[in-house]
This record gives sequence, structure tokens and C-alpha cells, in this order.
Amino acid sequence: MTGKPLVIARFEFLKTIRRKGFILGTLGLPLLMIVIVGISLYTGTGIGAGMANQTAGYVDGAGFVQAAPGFVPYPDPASGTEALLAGKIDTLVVVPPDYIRNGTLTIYTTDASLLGSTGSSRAVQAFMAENLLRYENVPDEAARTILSPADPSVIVLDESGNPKGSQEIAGFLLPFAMTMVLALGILTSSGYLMQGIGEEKESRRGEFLLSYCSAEELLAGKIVGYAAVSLLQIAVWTAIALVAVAASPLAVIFSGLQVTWLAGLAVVYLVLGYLLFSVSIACAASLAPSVREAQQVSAIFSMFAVFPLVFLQFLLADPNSPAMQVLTYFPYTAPFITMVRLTLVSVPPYEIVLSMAILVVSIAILTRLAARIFRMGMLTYGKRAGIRDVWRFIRTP
Amino acid sequence: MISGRIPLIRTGHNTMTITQDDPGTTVLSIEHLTKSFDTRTVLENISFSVGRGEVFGLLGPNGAGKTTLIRMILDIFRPDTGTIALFGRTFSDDIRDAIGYLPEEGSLDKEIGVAECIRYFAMLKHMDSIDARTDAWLERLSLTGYRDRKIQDLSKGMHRRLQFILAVIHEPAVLILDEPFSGLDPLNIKILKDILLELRAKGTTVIMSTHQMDEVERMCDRILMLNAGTVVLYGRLDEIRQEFGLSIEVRYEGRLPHLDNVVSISDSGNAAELVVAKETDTRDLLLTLAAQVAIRKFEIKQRSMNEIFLEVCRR
Repeated sequence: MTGKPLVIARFEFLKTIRRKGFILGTLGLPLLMIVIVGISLYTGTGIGAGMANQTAGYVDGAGFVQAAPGFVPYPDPASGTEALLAGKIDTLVVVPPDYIRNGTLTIYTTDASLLGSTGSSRAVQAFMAENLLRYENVPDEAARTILSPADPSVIVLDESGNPKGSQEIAGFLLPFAMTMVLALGILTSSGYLMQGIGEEKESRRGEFLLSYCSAEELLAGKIVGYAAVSLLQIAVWTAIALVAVAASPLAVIFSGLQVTWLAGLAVVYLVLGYLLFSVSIACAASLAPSVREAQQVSAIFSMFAVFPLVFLQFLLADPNSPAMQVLTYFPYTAPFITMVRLTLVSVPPYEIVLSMAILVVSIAILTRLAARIFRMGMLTYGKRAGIRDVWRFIRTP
Repeated sequence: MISGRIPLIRTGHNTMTITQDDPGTTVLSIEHLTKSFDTRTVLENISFSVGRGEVFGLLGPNGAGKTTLIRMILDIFRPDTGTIALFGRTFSDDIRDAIGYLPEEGSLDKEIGVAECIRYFAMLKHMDSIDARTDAWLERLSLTGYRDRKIQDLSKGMHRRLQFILAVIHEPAVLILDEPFSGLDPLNIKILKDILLELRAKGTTVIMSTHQMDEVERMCDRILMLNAGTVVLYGRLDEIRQEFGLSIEVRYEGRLPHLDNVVSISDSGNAAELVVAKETDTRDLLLTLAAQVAIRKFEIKQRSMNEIFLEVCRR
């Protein structure tokens, strides 16, 4: 793309990224997420650390419990309670004489918040399990397995029954992530497109702009400009997310990630899907009489973008069902549905080709109509254009 | 006969020119233009032409079809029937770049700077280096101090002046102005008029839509007046004024007699405004009046454009 659309795209891009709203949304949102996650982690770690540092007392009425780090024996409940009240211990576990038969015991504490604490319960359970295993003379090796029974190694089989490699499993993530990026890109850029076009219409700037370039050039420039804005925002978010993931245990999951042919297909669908939604959104924005109404229309398209997620359950259950095949050919759902199907099952090549062809033809037709709707919509001030108006706009040479 | 080449587009790489044989050469030619929206005919069988270096007035009451006509000249709308030719050609991107346009309504993007705004619109006209030109225009229109300010800091008049700069920064061959003087104080109206006359002297064609008839009388060479989508007046200003007869202001004492050959009389007791046909012998009229009333004043004037406008609109 050269010439005027590029000038318009550059202008819209630079103008938008300087806005406080964009800077706040781009940097503020992930920072807020980091702060929230950090606080919850810190709080969680604090509880865990607190539990680790806690000392429990126990009174062994059953006669089989042995002392362990963090667990102090007391001869009777009275002395244990006294130590608890004096703050020497945080909890007191009283094991009754019939514990082996009933499995019930009593925990005393002065801190009510510890009662619901998972860490606290697990610590007592582990302590009692170790003592029971020792009481039953279970060998140490068997005891360790009993205490930690599952360290699974999962093998995913393909349709022929052969195990899939880790690269292929990781390859699932990339196209899936790209479909998510499409939805996210549409959500973010639709807002910018709506606001930009809505403002221009509200300020009656459209006529002036159309004396500098054609409606097609203006539309193309805006779509590309706001796509670049959206791309920058997603890139920043992705970069921050990658740094966060790399610094976390989740990094192992992504270590086998490699670009497969599916990723290439995902990029094509991403671009086509974005173009389709952008052209539709630009038309809708040009028909709305004000920024406010344009933003309301934007919400409809945002819903449209995430609409395929509604079918996710059915999609995962039966990716090749007739309903999913139909949605593969419907332009607005094709990018997401096809990509997810591709990551789950083998989709016949003709379906992929046909779905892409429908998408390309839809974009071509819509772009042609959109330029007319956009041109007339931008010049219709103060009133909401209805279906009849849209039909008139399309027919106006 | 003078031969001339009007530079239309200046880019960083080349200069495109369109050859014109004569300063009076037709720049805009519209023939049998008709435009409808649904069943409503907005313009019907419009034909006129505008020559190079001409200041052409586009007149008419609200809703006459002026804005639609301007949008069609700018190729925002296309005609249902008829043709529009600029420089003898149908519309193209090159021609769009040769036009400057100042719309009546619409505000510029308030968040951007004044110089940035000029740069953006100049780039849309394929101009790269415009800093010196920008400074010159800002100074000419008393906006130098606002060069690096945001548009939201400009007053309404300053905003209008900035829009004018955007319309002329690329030295267009055709300048289309919709109510160019609205929102401007008398001082800036004079500056703008001076600039328009300079541009005309350089060969720029100015098409001006306005309701300010005194400015039309002072500036326009020819006019086209639309009413309800049809041409009701078209031609040289002096010819049109002559066509509409004469206006005679009479101050008198006595009782005004019945007068033949008078198109209309506005009588207020001791003063009257008479409109007479162009072929009327005003000497005879004066003698007839003087025989019956005491004449204190008898002033013959050409009819003003404002009078003509009102008369045509009332028809």
C-alpha cells in the first residue's frame, strides 16, 4: 500500500498512540494485572510461609504418634491448651484413643482463620499419615509412594494411535493463540475505529477529507492505521506476558513451541478475519450519528468477534459436525472455527480452500459496498441511517 | 492569445502540468447534469462552465442544491446523467490534487498541532517539504504564534483561517470555497479577499458559494444561481443586473400618481423605491413624476444582487 492510504494510516497511528487512553490501556492494563497477580501471590506466599512457620502441639491419646519438626508433644489436653493460650503453639491437635477406629481428631486454635486453611489441614493430614504408615510398619519406599501417589507422564495419541511429539502438541498452542489474538485485535481496534470515525462524523470532517482522497483510500488508510495501533498494543501485551511467563514455571510448557504450517494458515486467517471485521466496523461507525452510538455499535461487533467462543464446547466435542462445517464457511466465524478445527482434527483441504475463498470474496464485495456506505454515511449528519438508507447509499453512484 | 501551463501537482519527484491555451480557457465544464436521491431530484439539467482565473459565484437559497453540486465537482457524488469535466478531462486523482476546498462546516482534529495538521493535509496532496510555505501562510493569516499549538486552542476565526490555509497550501488550480467569510471579522475578511484576488491574478479559478451578496457583487465575474435544483440565473454579473432592470429611489412631496412601465413600487409616503424594466426611459418617468409631485431626490441605480436574489427566490 502506498500513497494516500499510507499517509492516512501513519497519521491515524501516530495520533492514536499519543492519546492518554491508549498509553494507559497499553501499559496500565498489564501493569495492573501484574500488580493484582503479585498481590495475590504475595498474599498466598504469606499464608504459606505463615503456615510453614507455625508450630502445632499434639496430645497423643491413641499412643502411636511420634514427634516431628513443627509438632510438639503435650501429655494432656490441659497442658496443651495452656501452651496454646500462652502463644507457644498455634494449634493443638488432640488425637483420641479410638482414632485408629474412627479417624476423627480435634484441633484447637486461637486463630479462627487457620480453620479454613488448606495448608494447615494438609500439614496435619500429612503428619497423621506418616505416623499411621510408621505404625503399620510400611516400608519407607512404599510409604513415600503412598504419600505421593501420582507423578503422571501424559502421552497424547494421534488418530493412528501413534504418540504425538511435544512439538506437535506445542504447535496446537500457536494457531489457537492466534485466533485469540484475532478476537483481541478486533476488540481493541474496533474501539479505535469506532471512536476515530465517530469523531470525524460528529465534527463533520468527512466531506473535507473526501476532497483530499477517495472514500476507498480513506477507508483503507483508517483500517491499516488502526490495525497497526491494535497490533502495537497486542505486541506490548504479548511481550509483557512472555516476560511474565518466562519468569514463571509455565515456561516449560512453551519450551517445545515451534512454528508449523498451521501457524502460517493462522496468519492468513488472522489477516482476512481482521479485514472483514474492520470493513464491517468502519461501515457501522459511519452510519452512527455520534461517537456514543458508534461505540454502542462497536459492542455488537465485539460480541460478534467472540461469538465463536459460544460454540467452543460443541466444537471440542465434535469438530467435524455439520454445524461446525457450516460455520467454517460463514465469513464472520470462519477464521476462528476453521483454525480450532485444524488444531483438533484433520480438515479436508477443500473445506479450507472453500472457506478462504468465501472469506476473500466476502471481503472484496464488502469493501466495494463499504466504500459507498462509508462515503454516504460520513456525509449524513445528525440522524441514524437505517436499512433503507444503507440500500440507498449502496445504489448511489 | 497567451499560452500557459498551470502547475497542478507538486510532489517530491516531479511536477505534473496541464496545458491550457488561454487564460480564459474553460477549467470546469458541466453539461446536462442531473442528480437524484431516491425519488427526489436534487439537481436537474445543470449546464455551465467556469474559465481559468475567474471568480465564479455559486448562489441560491438553502436547499437549492449548491452543496450537492460542489460534492459532485469534487467527485464525492457521481451524476446520474450529464458530464463534469475539469481541464477537459473526467475526474481523476490528479485532478483532485489540483483542487483546494474550504467547506462551510466541519472542524479539524482538535488533538493535533496546527503545523502538524498542515503537514498532514499537504502530504495528502503529495507535498513533502512545506515548512517554509507553512510559515509564510501562518504569518499571512496571523497564526504564527499558534504554529505549535493544538487546534483546540484556536478560536473559531483562527480555525477558519487554518482551514483556508489547508485549501490553498498546495497552490490549487481550482479553489472551491463554501461560505468563505463566515466566522471571520472584517479585518480577516479583507485579508482573505486580498488573497483571493492575488490568486485570481495568478490564474487560480475560484468557485465561491455564499449568501453574502455584497461580496458577490465586489468579487465575482460571473454567477450561477440555483433554485430548487435548477439554474435560474447564469452569466456575467453586470449583464444579469442589467437584465433585472433599474431601481429608482424617489423622495417626494405630494401624492404619487399611477405610473406605467413600473415593475414594482415600494412606497412609504414621502419616499418610494421603484423598479423599472431595463428599456424604460427614465427621463420620461422623471418628467411624469415631476408634473404631479415635488421631487426632492431621483436616484437611478442598478439593482443590487440582494434584490435580485430575493426576487428570484420569490418566483
